[in-house]
Amino acid sequence: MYRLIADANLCSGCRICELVCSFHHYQEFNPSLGRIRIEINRGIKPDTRTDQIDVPHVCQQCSPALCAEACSVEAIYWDPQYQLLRIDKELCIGCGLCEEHCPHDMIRMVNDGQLAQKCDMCLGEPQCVSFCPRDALQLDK
Amino acid sequence: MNGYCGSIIRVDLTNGSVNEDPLSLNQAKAFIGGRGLSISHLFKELPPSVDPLGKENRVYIFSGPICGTAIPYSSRYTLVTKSPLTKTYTRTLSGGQFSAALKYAGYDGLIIEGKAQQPCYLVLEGNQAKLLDASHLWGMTSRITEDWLRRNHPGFESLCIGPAGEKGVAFACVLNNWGRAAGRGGVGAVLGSKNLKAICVSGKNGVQVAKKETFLSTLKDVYKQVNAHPQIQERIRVGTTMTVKATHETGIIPIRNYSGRPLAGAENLYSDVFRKQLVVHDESCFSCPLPCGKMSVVRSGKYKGAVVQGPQFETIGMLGSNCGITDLNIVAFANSLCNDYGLDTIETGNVIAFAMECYERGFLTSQDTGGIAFNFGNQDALIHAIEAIGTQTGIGKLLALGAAGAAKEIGQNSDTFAMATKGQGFASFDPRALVGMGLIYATAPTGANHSTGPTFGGEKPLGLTAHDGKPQLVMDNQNNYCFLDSLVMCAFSRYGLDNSLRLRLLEDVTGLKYDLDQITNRIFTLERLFNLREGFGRAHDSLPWRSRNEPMPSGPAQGSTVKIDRMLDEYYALRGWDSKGVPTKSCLKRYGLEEQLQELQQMGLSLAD
Repeated sequence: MYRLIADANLCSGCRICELVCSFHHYQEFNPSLGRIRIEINRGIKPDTRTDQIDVPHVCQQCSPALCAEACSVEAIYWDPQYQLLRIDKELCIGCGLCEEHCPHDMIRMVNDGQLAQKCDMCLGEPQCVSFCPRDALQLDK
Repeated sequence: MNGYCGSIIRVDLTNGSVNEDPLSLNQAKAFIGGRGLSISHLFKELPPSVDPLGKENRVYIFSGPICGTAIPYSSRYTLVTKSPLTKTYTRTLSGGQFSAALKYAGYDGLIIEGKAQQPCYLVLEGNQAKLLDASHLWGMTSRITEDWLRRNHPGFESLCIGPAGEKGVAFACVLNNWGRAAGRGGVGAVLGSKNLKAICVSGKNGVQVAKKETFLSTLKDVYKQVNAHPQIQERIRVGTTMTVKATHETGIIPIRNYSGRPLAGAENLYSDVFRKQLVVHDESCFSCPLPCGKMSVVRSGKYKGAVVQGPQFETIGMLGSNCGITDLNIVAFANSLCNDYGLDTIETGNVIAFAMECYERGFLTSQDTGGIAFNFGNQDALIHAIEAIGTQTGIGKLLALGAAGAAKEIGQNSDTFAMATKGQGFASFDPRALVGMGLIYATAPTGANHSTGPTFGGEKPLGLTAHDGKPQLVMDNQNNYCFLDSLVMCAFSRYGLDNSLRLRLLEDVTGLKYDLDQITNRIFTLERLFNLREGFGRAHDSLPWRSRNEPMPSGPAQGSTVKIDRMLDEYYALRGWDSKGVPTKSCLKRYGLEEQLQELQQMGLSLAD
């Protein structure tokens, strides 16, 4: 199974991952479409832990996966070829249940909310990993 | 449009009206974005002699065509207005997340006009603009304001002013992202005079790119080049503080109000101490692979627990060595205090050092300073002065004028050591040890401002205290920064990018063609015309007496002074300006400024052919 691993101690919050994710999948730069999300908490206190300042959130490819379990039309399936959970565009009805149930806020509703999308690890060569200037993201095979 | 959003939003605070101007293709090609588009609007829209703190003044907040993309270093925005500190054109920039957010909201730029009746803040979301009551935020520090805005407008990016901006301090700044400052020129005071406390933006529009097919692979090569830059790792480790040692060893960093006398313990301000003593986290601006931002925590001493993003090189020079302070804990706390009040750390350090020299000469007494000995190196004096300026109490009222303004009140020839040009203080470079910087200070359209064309790198091969070759270097740097400030791209893009790559990226994004030589000269000349129209000329392109006549007392630059007149003659000629510093008719025609030429002639200004 493939998984993205993020190290919040290394992340500096540049959000380049969100940008290249959106460009790779939609040919535009738009972080709101990014299937990876950087949480930025820079209003720190003297004792704030450094892994709580710039925090990457990535799809965990959960097993069991709450998004897949919530899906009423079984559009979220395990792809054995790429070893990850994917969304079948033809089956998805845009109900948004997966988005509601994802504990990591990793589902993006696109096409005016008609289609759910999630990280597909760029089918083997995640752009976020390849662009991250801090090596804060890794692909765990 | 590609790159551009194609729209500029205009908010009139007087009546709450909101309008959108389409961005014309010709305007985009002639001025790129950011600083360029701002001056093209400012020159057209702001009549001469407007009171900078009156309702007629306007503020131009612009992003650039590459902002919001994954191009490295592309996260900055510009603020342009007429400055209350200098009464000239001013431009200041900041990084963080605001610029990209403005693009995603659908706007290349935002123009603020008029004056609100009551304290308010502006919320831009998608294509909607709302003015909301900010009475409860008035008087709040920038930190509290940003925290409140983030809690109440989650997902929005914001900029705001602190109490100093509300009170009209002529060098009040604008802050965003917990300590990124658009520092210089008093734009914070202009927003304050309009009763505008903050601006929040959010949107879900994407930025489009012309060369879609190849853009990601182009970017991959660019990032490779950035990561391979030999100095980038050190820059990431210590940010701008690497310059402290380099400028101290060359006598450039200002010491005790640019007197140049040696400062024992200055090594305690160096980058290794900074990293070890203060830094807890490296932070990037949006889309930046070089996290020069340093989250710092003061871990010991009187100000234990203070948190600040920084202090950066300029702040260490200005609030540190220039005030005779060699303790980074104190500088960090002073920086944090300036941010809270919304004060430019450069101008604040400049004027406090001036006050300290006045005190040591007996021009100010402890009666003026609230009973505190204002000697160089007195930490309590530094902190007291910042609080007094921020709250506009005691000596703070005098200091809020800046060094040049305060010198007028104090008299006694104190202007000889008021280290400013056109009323704006020098930054953290003593021009006697970095002579080209003297010409930058003298000719910057904003008043003294190092960031309009920093010369430290370029002057080394020419000789730091030499005069030959400096006018050409200064002109080239100034034009280069017109380009960077219009993209809008950070100065640190020199870590991996040069102008041909910047231009290629710009053209790949927008699909347009740009003539850089024309555009950058056009922008700089137009800024000059704005100031000319306000009554500025050669007499104002000057340096204070100390820089010109008091030889550097010691160190590597010992004996050096700045021969500004000689450099000005050569510089004006290079620019195509006459000996009074007025652009000639042929110069204006060459850069497509015929319309502006006509206007100046109608005003009765005579220009040489």
